[in-house]
Amino acid sequence: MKVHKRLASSTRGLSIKVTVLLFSASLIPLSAQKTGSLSGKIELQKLKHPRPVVLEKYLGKISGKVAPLPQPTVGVWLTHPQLSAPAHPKSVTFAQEGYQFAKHLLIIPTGTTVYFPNNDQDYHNVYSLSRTKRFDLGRYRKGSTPVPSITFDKAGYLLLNCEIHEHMQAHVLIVDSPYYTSTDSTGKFSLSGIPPGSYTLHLQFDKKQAWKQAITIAPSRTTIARPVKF
Amino acid sequence: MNAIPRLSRILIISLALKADAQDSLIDLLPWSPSSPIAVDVRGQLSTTFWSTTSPPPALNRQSGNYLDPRASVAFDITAYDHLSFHTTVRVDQGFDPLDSDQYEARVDEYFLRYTPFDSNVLNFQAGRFATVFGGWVAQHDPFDTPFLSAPLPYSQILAVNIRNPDANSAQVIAQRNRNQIPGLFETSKSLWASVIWGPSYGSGLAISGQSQHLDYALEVKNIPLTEQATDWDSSWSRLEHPTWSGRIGYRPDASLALGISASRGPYLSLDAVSLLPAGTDLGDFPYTSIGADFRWAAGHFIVTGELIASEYTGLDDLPLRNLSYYGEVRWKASPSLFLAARWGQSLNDKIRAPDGEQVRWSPNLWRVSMAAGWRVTPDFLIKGEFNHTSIDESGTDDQNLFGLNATWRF
Repeated sequence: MKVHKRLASSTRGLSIKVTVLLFSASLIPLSAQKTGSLSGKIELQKLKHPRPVVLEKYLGKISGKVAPLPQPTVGVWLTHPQLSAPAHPKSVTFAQEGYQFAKHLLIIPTGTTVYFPNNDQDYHNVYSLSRTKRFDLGRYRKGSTPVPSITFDKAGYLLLNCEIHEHMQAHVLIVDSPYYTSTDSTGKFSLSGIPPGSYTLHLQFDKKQAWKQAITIAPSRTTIARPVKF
Repeated sequence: MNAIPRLSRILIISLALKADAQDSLIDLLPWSPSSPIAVDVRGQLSTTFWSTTSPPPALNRQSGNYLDPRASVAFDITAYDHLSFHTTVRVDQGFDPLDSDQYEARVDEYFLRYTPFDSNVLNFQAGRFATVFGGWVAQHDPFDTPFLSAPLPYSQILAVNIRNPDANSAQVIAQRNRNQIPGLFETSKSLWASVIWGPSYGSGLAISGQSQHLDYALEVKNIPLTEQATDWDSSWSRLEHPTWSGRIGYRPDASLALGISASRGPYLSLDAVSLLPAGTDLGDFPYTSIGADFRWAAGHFIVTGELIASEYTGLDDLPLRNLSYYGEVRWKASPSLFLAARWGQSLNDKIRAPDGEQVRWSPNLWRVSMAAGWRVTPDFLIKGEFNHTSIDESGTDDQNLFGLNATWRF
């Protein structure tokens, strides 16, 4: 009888554990799977990267010190027919400071709201004429409230410009994927927590310099992306 | 009809020039974000269709319909944060439309700038460059101004003969009457002075600087602000009688810029030297100009304006005075579409004629301009302008000008 009771008790315990596991798997599928990682490196020096010279011919547009150009980086993301951007992506701040955009490239999931604060003492005027999103924030100063913002609701590439300072440019990649990142200044990148499976790996530097490759993510392993052929 | 082949030639030459220059200069320099030397080569192609009544107003010399293509290449080099060099080379038929029958390559701007400190509070500059006077010149790039033509004070001639100086009021009035409009404004534009002619690319030296709220600039050059584009190549010997110009600007915040400018120099051209009475030289015929400018911007609006008072001293110390002003507003209706309007007036003093009558020495006039533009991409712009000039002179036709321009930079 004692044995029976113990067996019944342990079976009940097992069934509760299985139910909990099944429930968690449906709520947070990734936590129930052994995920894989991806890493790689891009030879940034092989990219065609124009370096505009900041020479103010006439006075009046730049009254402070111009910061060095942001380091070039490459956007990296994975796509799969069943992947989409997170439902409620976090908002992002992308400042203009030292008469430069904060980064050379910004990669965000679709639906992200980006705030563009002006941290310089002169006006900036952020705009984009790219088909992905056409907008013009007008001229605004440091400390403008509310901080001008745009919600990017369509995936694609766009070029950001400042109407006043011709040298200021930044690239924005809006992706339908929760797995995205950008390289560091040496060209290295890594993504983790990826469910095993087949994906398309996208790498993009600007409007024209973009590459993609098929990639398979294995569980509990780091997959190394093939080098990009320039 | 041969404008298209000419345009193609200009396109091919400028693309080749830009590509060659950029590649060879960049190949010479190590690529690195931290490199102390940076080179930038940019090209710009534009063509403008002009349609003007007779006589054409503003900088235009030829009536009727015609194309005015232009190619330009700009080189920028910066070295070790303290030295910079800029030059702009243009290929066209003259800075003002159809100044020349032939296409010419012209170096409109070149200067070497030394900035001794890390900040921009002090710059020394030598070469050929646009004047520091006023507020419009800093905005005259096609991608900065919504208009095709310069504002009235920068593009309107007055009845001051720069090649055959007037001896007295009788001569001034006689010249004015002899050259009754339209003759004055059409057939002999190069004889006459303006308040300021376009960006006034003269050669000389400048000192300038700016901080958060203040900016200043002082230049000494070989040509007066009144000199027309065809004479901008005047010899350096004119530096014996230089023109001094300066501007002080104040910006209480990013939205508002205020400035006062002044300029003084001889307004007569070198052609007039042989006609001057013994014992006089160019320095005895000064042009003095004082200006105030403002610029206010917020959101999608920019409002600018300038007021310029000028005085030309003749042979008998007769002062000929002019007051010119303009105001313009630009509104961006969408990320690509902008609309603009401008109003300007040129008002002249009266002088006493030999018969005792008070006569205006040059006719008063007003001009209204409207412009619209479409920025197709950040580097491709289409814009059009219509302007109407009314001259306060009986029997004088109003002047109309229409221009349609496409500009591509690369």
